[in-house]
Amino acid sequence: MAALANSLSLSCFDLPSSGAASFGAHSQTARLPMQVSAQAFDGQKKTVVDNNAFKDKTLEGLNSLSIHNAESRTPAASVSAVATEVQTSPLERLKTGYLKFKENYVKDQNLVSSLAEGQAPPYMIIACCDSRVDPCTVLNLPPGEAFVLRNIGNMVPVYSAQSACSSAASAIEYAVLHLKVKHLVVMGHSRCGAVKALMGIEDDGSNRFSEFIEDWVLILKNASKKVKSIHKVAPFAEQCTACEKEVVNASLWNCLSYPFVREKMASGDLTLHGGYYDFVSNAFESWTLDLSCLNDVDKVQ
Amino acid sequence: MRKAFEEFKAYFKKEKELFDALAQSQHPKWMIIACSDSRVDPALVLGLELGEAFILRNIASLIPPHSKQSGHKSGASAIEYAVEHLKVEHIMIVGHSRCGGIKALLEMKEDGSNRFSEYIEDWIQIAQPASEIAKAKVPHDSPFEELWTCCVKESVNLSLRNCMSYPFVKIPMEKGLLTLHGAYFDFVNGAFDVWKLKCKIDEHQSL
Repeated sequence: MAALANSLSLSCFDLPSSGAASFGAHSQTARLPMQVSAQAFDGQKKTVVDNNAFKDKTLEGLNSLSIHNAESRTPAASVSAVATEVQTSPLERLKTGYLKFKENYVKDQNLVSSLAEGQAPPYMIIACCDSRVDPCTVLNLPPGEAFVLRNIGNMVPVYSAQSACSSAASAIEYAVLHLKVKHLVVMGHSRCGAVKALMGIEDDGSNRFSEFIEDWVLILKNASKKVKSIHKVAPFAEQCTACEKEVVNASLWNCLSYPFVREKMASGDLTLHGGYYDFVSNAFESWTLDLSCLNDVDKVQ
Repeated sequence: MRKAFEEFKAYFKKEKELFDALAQSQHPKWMIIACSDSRVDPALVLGLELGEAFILRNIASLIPPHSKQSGHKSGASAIEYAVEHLKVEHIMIVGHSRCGGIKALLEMKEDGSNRFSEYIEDWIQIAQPASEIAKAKVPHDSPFEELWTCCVKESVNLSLRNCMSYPFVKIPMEKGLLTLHGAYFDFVNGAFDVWKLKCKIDEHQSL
């Protein structure tokens, strides 16, 4: 890892992390090279920089799929309909939803037969469990497009040679080595309860409130420490927003700690992306890691 | 991703009242545990709107049993948050046809001689008891597909029982505040089966 860090520091930029000067991983000062492609979709800000590689390889393909499947992902019930469904039995609600999905799904028999045989998703998405941020809904991705890992806080623990019975490590390994996904996206979001919990933990653990939640979110305690030191005087809510994005960066960094991720990135077969879905202001930012200097990994190691 | 989000954004504007409410807080009635498989996104398959379901996804929708041993607790923490803080009323664990994780489990040799991964086998080992039950249930000369299907369903049942090993699940279940459901999504034949896990302490009887 140290050798890799040295090779990375050669011509690197900082990860976007709420204006921070540098991103320190663990005790190292290694910074990741990156090509910022922050695209805010709130209608007020224009795109900053296009990520050509991403656009060329995936956006065109995704456009055609989005148009083709627009009908199959009918926009949701209105507020009054949602209120009505609360009185229906919970299983009836699922049945209605499933039958509607099935009705649309069977219209494309080519897709049905192809998916019955296997999956070849171009994306792996790591997202939060939060009910408001389903990635396939937000990004309009039909069945077969994205292999999705969801946990609280969209967190990825750092690589460990010891078996930790890790859902994240096993999912990333499967996606990268067996499904051979082309893009790995970590998607954070606004008003994240897990990040809020992380930010609220006292150093002495005196306000512990759960059996498992604190231990889980503390895998990214460095993100919280960094935000608190940079944004000392900011209101808590603003610190949490900064931490939501820092957690995405920290998770991306931890993805890189897996040798199989680094190898695929070095060979140009995998791109890592960060995403931030703000459902308060209805905006989606994304950024991409460009690790072209990883071509030197083999020589260094 | 950009074009796809633009379409979603248009829908968001249309349902502004709904999304303003969601921006403040979430109150999902469901927690759904599903496989990471790209073909089985539960929100798509069950036509769920944003805000309806808190969703955990991992390989083979596995929940390990309650344990105080150290190790990553992504499942335990998510369930604890859903039950204790969001107060969901239902947990559904969804297995599915042609699950790669369960297939790998069934093909694992006891001596580990055909190990192929660094992490995957250690993860799917959680479902080892389900593999044993399925192998005992399904006749040896049956097609593999039958064993595969049986093992997925037994794995769902195992994960449901493991959920119950968490006190914060067991207590509301016994009080009737939380219902556990199993489900099997068969995208080959176009079916979605559901069943409940019942937990009831009967009236005491004097002998």
